[in-house]
Amino acid sequence: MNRAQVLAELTTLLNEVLERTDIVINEATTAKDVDGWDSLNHAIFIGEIQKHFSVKFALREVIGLKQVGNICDLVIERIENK
Amino acid sequence: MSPQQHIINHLFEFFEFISKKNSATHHKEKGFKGISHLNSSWPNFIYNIDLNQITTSDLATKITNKQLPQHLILTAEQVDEHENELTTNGFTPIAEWSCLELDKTEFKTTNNQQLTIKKITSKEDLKDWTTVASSGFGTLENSIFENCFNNKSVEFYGGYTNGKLVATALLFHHNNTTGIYHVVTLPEERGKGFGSELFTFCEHKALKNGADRVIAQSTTEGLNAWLNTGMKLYGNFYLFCLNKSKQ
Repeated sequence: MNRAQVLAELTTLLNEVLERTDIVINEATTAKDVDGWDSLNHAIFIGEIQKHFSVKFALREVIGLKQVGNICDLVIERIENK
Repeated sequence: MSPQQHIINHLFEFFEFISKKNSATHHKEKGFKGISHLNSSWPNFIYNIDLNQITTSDLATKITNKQLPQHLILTAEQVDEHENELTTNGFTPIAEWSCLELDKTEFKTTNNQQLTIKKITSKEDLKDWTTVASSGFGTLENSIFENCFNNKSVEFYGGYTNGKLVATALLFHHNNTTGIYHVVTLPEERGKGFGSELFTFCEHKALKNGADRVIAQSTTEGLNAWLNTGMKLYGNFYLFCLNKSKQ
């Protein structure tokens, strides 16, 4: 799976979590840039990412996921090391 | 008591002070305390958690049953020791905070004097203060602070430039320790040293008021700036959120 595919799937997941269809994200997007992406939805989003990609993040890794690009990095790293 | 525990306990005392002034619901059970505000998103936390007395599974059940607020505070040591249980029960870390205490031997006054710093003395100014503080912490209810106004334990300060409030800080005095809280600079005014100037003012003010210890908590983003004012780092703590409650 390449980076663009991961980003597209993250976009879909975030729209599902926030029950919207219009959110467009890029690597620089942070929670502050998206209406409704609050702490609870962030926790749900991180959980959904792990389920969707069948990967596991350590708790301290999750803290570092400030931008969508950071999430892409971690997802790709986990998929490649499966 | 370690400096880290002292700093975290001061935060908990601050929550309890705020909640008592605002008729919040207090939860106190074996292994934890909690605060829930009906009309405010802050402060709503489970804190003072002893995971040897309450399991993460029990906490998750209580949160899911809406008996407790969504967020809990744990030290880095607790996270390391209980990582598997936290993960299994659906807890996700959403913020990392550092514990800071002023090293009085390192404290320096600043030459940076761009701000006019004033104590907030009117409820009108407090509304502006809350608006600016909200730009860093998410929406804060003005009434939460209004109910603490004119209490000797709390002082609100604002940093002004060209007559505009651009930075906020709050001092909470408890047991000879002063905590510096809610240090926020408006997003469009960041990177100009305003936060550091106000923070240093607060350190100075706390010492002048006779505080034996001056403490703060910082996000990763603000950490270096506060360390440069003479603060010393004493470990981290984390804010967790349960991610199962919406399912």
